[in-house]
Amino acid sequence: MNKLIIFQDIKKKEQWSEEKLIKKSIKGDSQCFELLVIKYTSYLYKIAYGYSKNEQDALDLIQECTYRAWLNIKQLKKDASFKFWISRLLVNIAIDSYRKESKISKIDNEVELEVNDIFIEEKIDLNEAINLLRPEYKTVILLKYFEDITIPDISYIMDIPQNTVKTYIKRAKESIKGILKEDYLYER
Amino acid sequence: MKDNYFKDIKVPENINLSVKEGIDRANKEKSKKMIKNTMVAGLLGIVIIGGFTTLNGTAYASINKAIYDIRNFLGIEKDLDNYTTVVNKSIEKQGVTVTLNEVILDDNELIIYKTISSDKKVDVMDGRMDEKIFINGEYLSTSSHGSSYRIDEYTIQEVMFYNPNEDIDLSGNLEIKIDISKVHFKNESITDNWDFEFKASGDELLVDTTEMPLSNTFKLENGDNIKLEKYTSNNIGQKIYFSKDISGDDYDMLLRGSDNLNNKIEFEVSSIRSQKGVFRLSTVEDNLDENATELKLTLYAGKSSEMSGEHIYDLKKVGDEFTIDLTKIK
Repeated sequence: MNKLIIFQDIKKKEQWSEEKLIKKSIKGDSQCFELLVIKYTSYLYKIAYGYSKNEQDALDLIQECTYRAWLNIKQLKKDASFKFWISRLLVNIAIDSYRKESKISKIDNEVELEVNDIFIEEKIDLNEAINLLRPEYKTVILLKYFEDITIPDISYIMDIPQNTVKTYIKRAKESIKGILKEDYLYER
Repeated sequence: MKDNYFKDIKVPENINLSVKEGIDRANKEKSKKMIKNTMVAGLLGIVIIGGFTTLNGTAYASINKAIYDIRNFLGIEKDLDNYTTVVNKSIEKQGVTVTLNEVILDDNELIIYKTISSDKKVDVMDGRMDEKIFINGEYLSTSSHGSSYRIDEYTIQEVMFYNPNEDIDLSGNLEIKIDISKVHFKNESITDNWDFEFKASGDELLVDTTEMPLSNTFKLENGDNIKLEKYTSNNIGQKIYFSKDISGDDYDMLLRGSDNLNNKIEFEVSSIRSQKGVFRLSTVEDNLDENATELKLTLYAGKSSEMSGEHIYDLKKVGDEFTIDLTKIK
C-alpha cells in the first residue's frame, strides 16, 4: 500500500450544507445524521434541561431523542427543518418523561409554580423565576425569546395549537411577573 | 431576558457522547431487524435448495454484524447482486474479529467490505490494517482508499478500494487471498494472522460496463499535462480514466460540474499511479441521474499536502469547462 486515504469522508461531510446532510441522513448515512444532531446539541440540551432540571436526565433525554430520531429519520421530509423536527421529537419525549414523573397530573391547570419555594427567599432573580416555571412554559420562553422561533413553528415543535402557544407565553410571563413582582418583561 | 436563564445553562462537554450512544442504540435496533430479515431469507433459501445448508456460528456472526452491504455502504442505488461475491467469513484472533463480508471486482479495482469488531471499545479511527493481497498466488502491490463507519462501540465497518500499482489482467476467475497481519487501534496494535481465501470474477460486470473515448487535455501549474482517456459507466458507478506526465509533484484533483438536469456532479480521484489514474463519480453526494444526457465538468487541482483529503476545497480551476455527451456511450 503506497497511499492510504481513509476517513476523509467525515471531513468532507463537515463542510456540507444542512440540506445535503439531511438528504444523506434519510438515505441512511449515520455520519451525516450525527453531524446534523451535533449542530443542535446545545439548543436541544437547553430544552431538555428545562424539563429535567438536572444534567444527567437531560443527557438521557438527548440520547433517547437521538435514538428515536435515527430510527425514524425517513419520516423527515427532505425540505423540512431538521431543527424543528428533532425539537418536536425531544419535546414529546420530555413531556412523556415529565408526565410520568411529575406530581402535577393536569397539564392545563392554572399556573402551578412551586410557590412555597418563592417565599423561602424574599428576593428572587429572573433566572430562578424561569427555573420555577412549568417545563412547557420554559420551552415556549426558550423557543420564542432565545431562539426567535415563530408562533406557528413553536406550535409545530410542541404539537399544540397556536392559540395554546400564545396562552403558554402569556401565562409564562404572568408567572415570572408574579414571582418578580416587576413589569420589565412586558417591555418586549 | 436573553442574558439570563437559558444562556446560563452549561452544556456538558460529553453531550456528543449521548448523541453517539443514541445512534449506537438505534443501529443495534436496526441490526436486530436486519438479522430477522436475513434469517427469514436464509430459511427460505434452505427450503428451496433442499435442506442441507445450516447457519453455523461463523455465518451467524457475520450476519449479526453486517448491517450494510457494499451497495448500501457506498450509497449505490442500482442492483449489484450479480456482481458481488458474498464471502461472509469471520476470523477471531486475540479478541479481534475480522469479517470479510463482500467483494466486487470492477475492471482493475478490487472493492472489499470488511467488519472489524473488538472485545474492547473502538474509535472511528481504529481498525486500520496491515494486509497483503495475492491474486492467483502472486502478490499484488496496490494503493487503496476508502471509508469506515463505527457501527457500535465495538464494531467498525469499512469499504476499501484497492488499485494495482502495475498493469495486471484481472479478468477471469481469480483466486484471491488476503493476509492481514496487524490491526491497528488507537492505543495498541494487534499482531496475528487473519487470512482469507476466496474466488471472484469481474467478468460479468465488465461485460455490462459501457464506455466512450475522451481526448480532453489540461496543463497543471507545474507544467504537467493531464489527458482524459475514457468515460465508463456500470452499476457500481461512473469513472473517467486519465493519463498524466511524471513530474514528481503529487496533485490533488477533482472534476466538478453538473449534468443537463442541473444536478451537481463531482468526480474524485479514485486511484493514481505513475502515469495513470481514475476519477470516480462520488456517490456520497448522489448517484448519476438516469435521465441525464450530458455532463459539463471542470478540472480543479492543487498540490498535495501531507494531510491528504483536508484541503480539497482549496483546489484551483484548471483550463476550460468541457462536455461529455452521454448519448454517445456504448
